[in-house]
Amino acid sequence: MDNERIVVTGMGVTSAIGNNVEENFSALQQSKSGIGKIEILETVHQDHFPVGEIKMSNEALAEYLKLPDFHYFTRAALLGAYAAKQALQQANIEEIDFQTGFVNGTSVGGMDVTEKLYHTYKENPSNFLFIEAQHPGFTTNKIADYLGINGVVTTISTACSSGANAVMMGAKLLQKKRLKRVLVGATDCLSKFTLNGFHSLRILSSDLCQPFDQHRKGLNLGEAAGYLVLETEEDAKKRNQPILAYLEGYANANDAHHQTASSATGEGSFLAMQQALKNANLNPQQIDYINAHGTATPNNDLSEGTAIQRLFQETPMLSSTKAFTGHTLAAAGAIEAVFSILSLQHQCVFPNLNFQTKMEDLNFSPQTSFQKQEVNYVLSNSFGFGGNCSSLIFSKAL
Amino acid sequence: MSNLREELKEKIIEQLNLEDLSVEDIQNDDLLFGDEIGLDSIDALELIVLLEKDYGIKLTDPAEGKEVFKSIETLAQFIESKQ
Amino acid sequence: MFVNGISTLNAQDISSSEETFFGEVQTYSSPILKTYFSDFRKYIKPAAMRRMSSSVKMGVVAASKVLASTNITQPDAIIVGTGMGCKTDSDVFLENLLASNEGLLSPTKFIQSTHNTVAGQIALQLKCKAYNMTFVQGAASFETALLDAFLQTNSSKNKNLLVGGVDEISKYSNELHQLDGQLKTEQEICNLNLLDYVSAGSISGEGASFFVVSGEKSEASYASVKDIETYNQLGKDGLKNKVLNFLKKNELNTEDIDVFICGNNADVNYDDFYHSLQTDIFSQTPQLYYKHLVGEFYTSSGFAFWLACKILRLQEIPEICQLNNFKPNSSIKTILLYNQYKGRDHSFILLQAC
Repeated sequence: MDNERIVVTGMGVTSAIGNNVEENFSALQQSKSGIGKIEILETVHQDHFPVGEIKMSNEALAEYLKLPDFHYFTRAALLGAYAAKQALQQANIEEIDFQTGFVNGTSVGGMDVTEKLYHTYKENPSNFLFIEAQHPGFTTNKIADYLGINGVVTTISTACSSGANAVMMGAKLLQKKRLKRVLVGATDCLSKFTLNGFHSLRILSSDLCQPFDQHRKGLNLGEAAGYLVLETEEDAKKRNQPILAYLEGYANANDAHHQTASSATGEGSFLAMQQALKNANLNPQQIDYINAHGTATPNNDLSEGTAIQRLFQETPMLSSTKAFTGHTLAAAGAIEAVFSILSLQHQCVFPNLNFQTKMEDLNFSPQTSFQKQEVNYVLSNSFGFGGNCSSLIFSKAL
Repeated sequence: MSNLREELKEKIIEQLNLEDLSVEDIQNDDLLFGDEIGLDSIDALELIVLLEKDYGIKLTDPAEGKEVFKSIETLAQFIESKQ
Repeated sequence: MFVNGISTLNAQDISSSEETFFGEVQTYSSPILKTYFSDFRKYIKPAAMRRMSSSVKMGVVAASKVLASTNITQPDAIIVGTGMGCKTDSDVFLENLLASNEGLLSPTKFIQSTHNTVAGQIALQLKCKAYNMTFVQGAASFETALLDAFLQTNSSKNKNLLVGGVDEISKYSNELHQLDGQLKTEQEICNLNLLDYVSAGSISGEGASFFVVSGEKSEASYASVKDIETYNQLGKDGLKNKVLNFLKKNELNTEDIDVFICGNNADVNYDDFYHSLQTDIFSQTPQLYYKHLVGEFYTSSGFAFWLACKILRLQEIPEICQLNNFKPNSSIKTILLYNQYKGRDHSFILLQAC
């Protein structure tokens, strides 16, 4: 890592297990999953696939955010603004200037709107302002406008590793002194597009997902938004801002094996974790807890598990929190960064729900209960389509 | 009988966008996932969709798929057995 | 950061000669400018190509060409900017979904619809396990990719990074863009006279521009990238301020700019951003534009970057791109690029001869 240490001074999250950081922690602590029946998304698959849905309608979100009637926010933008506001508030960022940047991740951005309006534009000119909503930058711009961020604003779209990559990009912008502070994270909402897309790949489970279980059948989708405010340690200390955690290291590598499936040896995951450790100047044995990508697909858990075994002589405590929130796509890396920091703040590890049987191909089992213990370094993994593998390492604030 | 095999070849060429192949290029016993035709796991998913959409046969066990999709011949026989 | 390799595919017949910019300038009377290049089979195996959308094909070919020209087989990073990603595949999946009311769907189009498919496919073709990133931020997509590379080469001088921008034409997007004022509605538009059409919107293009960059200069370096800045939103006053600060930060003033390349696209609602600089602080500077040649698309500024590198190499400017009558000095040293789209994603790129 380049000279300056990067710290987290604000966090915000909304997911199926809570609408702020405290609620999410409470659910994690009590092993209360948010996965259940689809209620808000209108889909023919309503009764077939459990999901991690946020039980807040778009109207409720818009009202909370005090948006005007014709606001043209996509659901992802609503969730994003909702969570981002929390992070900025906690970090006490009152005045936004050009030294404040925004790096957002999203995989399908405004697809929730596009799939509703796709054939309606020609008859309804009032929908014209939604035409570009299909593209990730649109959702990011809406959130940036809401927060008043006008300078460096960008979107990363690398599927399920987008959130983690946004954290990385933000850190780089700070380290190279392009910005003094940066809001980083991601947002994705449920949509027919992703539900049917993952279904066509046959990796959705019609039961509650079971990460790292021998009999896992696939993932449950979820929706969420998670954001961190990053600054340099020096800047945070200068303004007496409490530090929540340190971002010790990060890395991104590519599996280069297949468009959607991971290699059997988990090469991309292995390289990402290995390089993140190197970046952080740490040895594998110093990692106390891994928040795994753990989607509960037959392919990912085997690949990730194998990579972990290759890298760690003794596997640290490990769990996937996707059995709580569902797989929130781009947002996963971001909300799991928040969860990793919670683990450090509260000195605990979170359970990997629904686990029953150890995987035959692996020599470890995940953590199955909430447990208080010493945690100094947490590794968080996020792997996306296109072989995109990212790992972040956080450490405890003193 | 042979019409089904020809039909399958046509459908596979179209569905999987195998522009360079014609029906004559595919032998009934060629390994679809071998070097001759060279299909991959994404194609396997497409074939599952094709089977259900065009022939009304639902394949739920991926292991069964491996045998069924071995060649045009095995695929044709499977479809015939279900009719 | 040094640019050691360049390649571009778009509506023009890009010369493979080192001595010229283009082959015969392509003229179009339709507002849709499709890519001129067609020899994809030379670079991509049929088995892989059968699934590839236009953006993936263009991206893979532009990347192959630039890597071959620099003898790099394994770049240390692959960073791509795209404004619309694989729009056509995404639309096909969505249309099928809606038509079948969420019935049986083909997975291929879904897989291909993720925005990082181009970067992912390039990595797959090269078996490249290095850093792989995709930025999707409208007209700042390519610029952010370039900025990411710039930040990385600052600490790792000896790495060779592959950076590019790519976007494809989408038929449905163009239909909708004629409704919402992004695409000109005139039936016939001669691209070479683009700026004569004072109306809403522009013409639509597609293309891929890829570069090999490094923190180390080589014999074959085209240019040195001194700085890059992006601003999501700026008013015209803010714009002037930011440009001057950008130059000052790099110890330059407006007289030091030998060539000013702008993204004028004839959109009557937004070209004023360019005019405000072109009639004021850069009124005495040789000004060029390029969107009449390749059309407007989110990553068309990748072509501008290619153009700037070529200008610094050839030490001359293509007449077909001239906006005013000022000619550059005998030695072209510093080029400033400015682009924006619909008042958003303003970007400045500073390039110098090396």
